[in-house]
Amino acid sequence: MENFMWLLHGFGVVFSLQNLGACLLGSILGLIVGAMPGIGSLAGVALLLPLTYKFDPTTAIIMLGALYYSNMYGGAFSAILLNIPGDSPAVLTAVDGYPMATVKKRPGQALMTANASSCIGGIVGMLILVILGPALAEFGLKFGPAEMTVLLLVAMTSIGWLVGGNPVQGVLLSFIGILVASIGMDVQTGVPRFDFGNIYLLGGVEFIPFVIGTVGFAQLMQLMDEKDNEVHSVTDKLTIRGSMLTAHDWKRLTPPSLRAGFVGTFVGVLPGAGATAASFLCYAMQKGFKSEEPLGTGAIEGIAASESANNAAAAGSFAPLLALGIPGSGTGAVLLGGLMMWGLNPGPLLFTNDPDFAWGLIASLFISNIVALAISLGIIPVLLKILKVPVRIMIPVIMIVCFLGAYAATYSMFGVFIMLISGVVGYLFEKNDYSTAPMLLAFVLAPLLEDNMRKAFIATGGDISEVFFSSAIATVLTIILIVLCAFPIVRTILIKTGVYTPKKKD
Amino acid sequence: MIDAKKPVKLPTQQILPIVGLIVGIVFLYIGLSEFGFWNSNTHTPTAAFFSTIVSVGLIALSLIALLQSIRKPMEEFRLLNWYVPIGFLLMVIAMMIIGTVPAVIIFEIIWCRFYEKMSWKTTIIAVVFCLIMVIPIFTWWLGIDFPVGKIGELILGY
Repeated sequence: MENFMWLLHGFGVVFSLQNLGACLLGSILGLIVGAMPGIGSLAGVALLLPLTYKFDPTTAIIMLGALYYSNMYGGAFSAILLNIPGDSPAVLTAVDGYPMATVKKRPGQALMTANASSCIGGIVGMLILVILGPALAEFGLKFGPAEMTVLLLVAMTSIGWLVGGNPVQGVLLSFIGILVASIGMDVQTGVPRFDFGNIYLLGGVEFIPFVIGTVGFAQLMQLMDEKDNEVHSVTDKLTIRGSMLTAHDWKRLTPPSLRAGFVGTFVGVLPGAGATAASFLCYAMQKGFKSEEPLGTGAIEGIAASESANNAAAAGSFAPLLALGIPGSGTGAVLLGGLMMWGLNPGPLLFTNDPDFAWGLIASLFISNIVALAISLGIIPVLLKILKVPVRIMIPVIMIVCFLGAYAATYSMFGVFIMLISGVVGYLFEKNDYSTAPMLLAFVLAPLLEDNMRKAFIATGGDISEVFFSSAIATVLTIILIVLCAFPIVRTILIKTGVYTPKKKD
Repeated sequence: MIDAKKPVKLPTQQILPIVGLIVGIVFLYIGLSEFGFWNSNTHTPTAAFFSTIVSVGLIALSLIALLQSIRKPMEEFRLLNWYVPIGFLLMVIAMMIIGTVPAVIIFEIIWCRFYEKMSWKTTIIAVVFCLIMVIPIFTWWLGIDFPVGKIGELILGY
């Protein structure tokens, strides 16, 4: 109950003209960026991060939260109308959304189903976040440097393992991210390190140019492959009136939305799992429940499960981010980087030391959810125009955005060159099936991990067993870490010895 | 005439782990030679304690990734994708000479009108959109002073 009182306090914080304006702006931009095929929430948040410079930390992160959240709404639009998911969590939305729009000739209703179930899933996720966040923070107060060290290692390893197809490649990039983050002044001793004689590197590699390059610029290089693709929409005209759902449609979408909202939230809490995993899991789960039509043929239940799950997971991912300072995904890492940029340190003490910020952000997610729903209904008549913006126009425009963001972050061309190099390297990695999300996460978490690890080793005089088995929490986390590290190796051995045969993908 | 869409095969699946290996060795060498690993006098980790552990891990994983990549086919690259960093670099060089606003206008016109063969109407929309971001949003609202270039410096007497 106390949590809900704090939530009301959070609404009090958000209800200022500046915060509501930031929330509205974030929602509009997030929806537009999310709707454009090929950009995605990670690149969207990274590219728009510099726009928050003008605001105070609370307003800035409210805008970023709204941006991230409404991106999840936008991803469904192109999935339903063009059969091109705007982002990976919307892949399964296309499976039922596109047939509903084409075969059943109900494109407006497919969009409304996606919007309504996104809203329901989001609200379920946020209500769980209100309860879970502070509880997780209270538990986090028991964490000393040793426990934080192992927890951060678990987070980095699990994301390296889970994101992308090859765990070795994921962890390899995590290590590269850590080494890039270690460039510059050592915060504990004040000694410059790994600056290669370059004075610009004394302050380290700046977060914003690095992230804009790795995600946004690399994405542009990949988009060149798609720039001549024709965009074909399932319809020429959409109206709000023609998109309304019947009472029967609501009856069909509500139960799967609530179910997927609940499950999706808990999937979102896990590091590395995120919105995509939640969407896949809940869609698969929906197959075990009754649907009026078979999934994959334009079933409302399929769209509802997928969309509700990915929005709930987006809300759930804020619990470990705020309470423990551990993001669950690449986008979460960018948000965490943004928080740190404004001098906020997410972690167990955030709810105690900075309740205005923590609860203001959570309250703003509720508002963003409603605002995103309202805007996504309002833009239905112009949605087709947004979706039909050709990629070949977007490329040079986003190049300018990349320049502006990188320069504004550092006030120097050095930041622009960091962005360019990160972009080219990011493209090479992505082209070779290395996911760059673990690198971003490692880059953001590396200073925290290094700080805790060194403190833990100082406290124990260098005794490794004292660090990893110093308490019951550290021991449990160490066991999880060992299992995470051993799993791919054991799996490979089992496959090679013929004991286990993985299922082939269709 | 170079066909920008013609793919060129490169062994990047093998090159990337080798780059990882080199990065690991460089950080390991610099870390150990300049800072050491553990200060035995004070019983505390040095500035390179953490990076040394990570470098060793990176070297080991790069070797595993290299072994895994031996049978992987060569990756196809097209010049087309590299137009983005090349165009960007040329735009940045132009900014250093003629300033941000003229460089942005010229870049958008060359890319949209002459490379992508878009109509003048679409090109002007793209130019206006970019200028709105540069001038009212970033310069006026966010207060960022972008480079005016060597020519701008001469004119403005910097």
